[in-house]
Amino acid sequence: MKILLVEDEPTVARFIEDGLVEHGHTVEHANNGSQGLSLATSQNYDVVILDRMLPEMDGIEVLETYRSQGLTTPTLILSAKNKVDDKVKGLRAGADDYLTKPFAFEELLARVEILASRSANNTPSQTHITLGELHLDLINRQVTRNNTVIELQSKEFKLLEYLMLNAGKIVTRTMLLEKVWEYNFDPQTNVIDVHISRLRNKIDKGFDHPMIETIRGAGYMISSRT
Amino acid sequence: MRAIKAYSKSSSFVVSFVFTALMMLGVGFNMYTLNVANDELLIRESQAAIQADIGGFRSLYNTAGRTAVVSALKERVNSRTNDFLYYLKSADDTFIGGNLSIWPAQNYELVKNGVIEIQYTPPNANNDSPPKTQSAIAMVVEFDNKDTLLVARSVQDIEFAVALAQTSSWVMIVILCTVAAISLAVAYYVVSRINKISETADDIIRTGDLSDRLHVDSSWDDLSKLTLVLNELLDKIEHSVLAIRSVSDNIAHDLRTPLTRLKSHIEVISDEREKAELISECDNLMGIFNSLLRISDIENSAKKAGFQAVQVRDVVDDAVDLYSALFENKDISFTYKADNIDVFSADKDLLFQAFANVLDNAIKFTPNGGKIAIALKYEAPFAIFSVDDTGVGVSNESIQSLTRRFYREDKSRSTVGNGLGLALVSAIVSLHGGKVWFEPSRIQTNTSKGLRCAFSLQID
Repeated sequence: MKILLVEDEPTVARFIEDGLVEHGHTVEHANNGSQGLSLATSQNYDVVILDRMLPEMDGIEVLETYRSQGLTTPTLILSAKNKVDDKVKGLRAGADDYLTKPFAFEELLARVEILASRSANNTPSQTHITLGELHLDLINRQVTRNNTVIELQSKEFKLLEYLMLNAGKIVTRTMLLEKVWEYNFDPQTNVIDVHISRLRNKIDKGFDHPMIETIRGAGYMISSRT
Repeated sequence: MRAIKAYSKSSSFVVSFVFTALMMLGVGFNMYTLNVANDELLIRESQAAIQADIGGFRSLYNTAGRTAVVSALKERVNSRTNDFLYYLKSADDTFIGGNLSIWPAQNYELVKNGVIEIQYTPPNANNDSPPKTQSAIAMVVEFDNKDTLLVARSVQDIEFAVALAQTSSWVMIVILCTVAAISLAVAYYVVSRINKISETADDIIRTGDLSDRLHVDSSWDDLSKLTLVLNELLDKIEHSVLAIRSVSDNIAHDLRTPLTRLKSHIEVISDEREKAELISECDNLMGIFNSLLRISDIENSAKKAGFQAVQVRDVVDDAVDLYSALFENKDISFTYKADNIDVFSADKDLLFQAFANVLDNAIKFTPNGGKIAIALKYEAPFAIFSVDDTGVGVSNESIQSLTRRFYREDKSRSTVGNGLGLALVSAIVSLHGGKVWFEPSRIQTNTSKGLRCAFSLQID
């Protein structure tokens, strides 16, 4: 995967670049906004990681400029300030995701990988999701595995839906809280794990192989057995 | 500090009020003297003196005759302290003695034995100058042999003295009134300026916006000097807060990188158990840094940043919904009651964090099979969120320290946590104009003491 990183702080840039390279991605790094803009518009990237505060040209400005030129490259905004209006501004300018510094590298990696896959199979309005023997009917809100109907509560359904939309990708606990419960907070304890284990009880119990996998130190992943 | 709401509570205003009262007392006294010290009184006194003098001469005349009276008059006239005027004449209008050169009474018939006002030429006037006339009070007495004595006293001095006294009294009254008015105005000025200072200080305390400054409208007096000094103090505080913030940001960045490097080194350890343990230690450390940064971030952020209209009941519903899975896991039975509360301006994510931390604590310290009661109540102008549990409870000595960073009661050291959860709650709650408090649980059982953790959020 080819990633453009626009970040002016050398330590943060090094930290991100090293991590991404270690996970097999190609990273190009720009130190300021205008350099970032010219790279983003002249080359093809899978994902752009854009810092909010940049010298010469603000991150939001860079994003707005290349979005107005019709460039749809998935973009993740990084911000040092934990402020909602910053987040709203970023998403309004056309950002696809948003991450507040400081962050764990696994969190960034998981988000970047999901962003890249989203652009690859761009199917915004699905009515069904199928993953191996697991089938999700989004209209009737019904789940079946091997044609056995599974009863899920509404939050459990949302949880499964999000996991399945990102099947084969790591989904972090923070992402689940953000997308399923729609709150951006630090749970401190294993509350997400408890919800996942309840979901597992319904999805995996009694079937020959488990589909929901725990990725140590990162999050969860759902996949069909290949 | 709050603005001075009642002027009676301001020391400068009280002083000026006392001052004004004293001034008014002075004015009153002056008015009284003005009323008493009119010319009538002085004239009456002069008349009495004249009458007494006449009485003296009459008895002298009756006992010693005209010659004695004449010599007595001479003696009187020559005395330095004499301020009386005399004219003694015989029945045929011949001048016999006294210090007046002519008979001043225009109409003798009218003034006989009565008090008159006369026009006369003062006895010590220069002979060359034309005779001046002055007002005087006079009395005329006729002795047995038809000699007539006129005794008079000038009222010029009396009139002058009275006029002087009256003028100075009025001047005094005007001065006193001016002083009173000025002192009230000064007090009003001082109080309103102090109020302005404390209002700004109050704003700073409430909003946490350290960039605000006191308004400096002049530079000549002590209050403006105080304002300047306070502004300088705010500059210093703002500067140090910013410095601390950047230092902690730097610490976070600087420690994050080696920690990540450490983690990637741990990844290659072959012993799976040891690897997992070390990684979770690393994550814990990272979590502590994140929490610390978050708390200081919230404490330093201004109230309005990130605020939006929030239906607090929905947020509590969601938090209870999220944590109910944990209740069931520990077989804890819980009750949840919530009032409907109007939408108010808040940070939804932070509120959720606060509710979650309190719920998380209650679950952590309540044994399996225990009870938890959650409530959201509206008590104008606050929303009160409370969680009662049947856990181990907290000793009275520890209650004050619960919201301190890294504080952990000795008996809870073995449980999971870093001692930052309630510090974070406290920071969030004070950002929303409320406070956190702890009480004995209201659902205590025989076997457990329990704890009630509650906090308020300002709605209006």
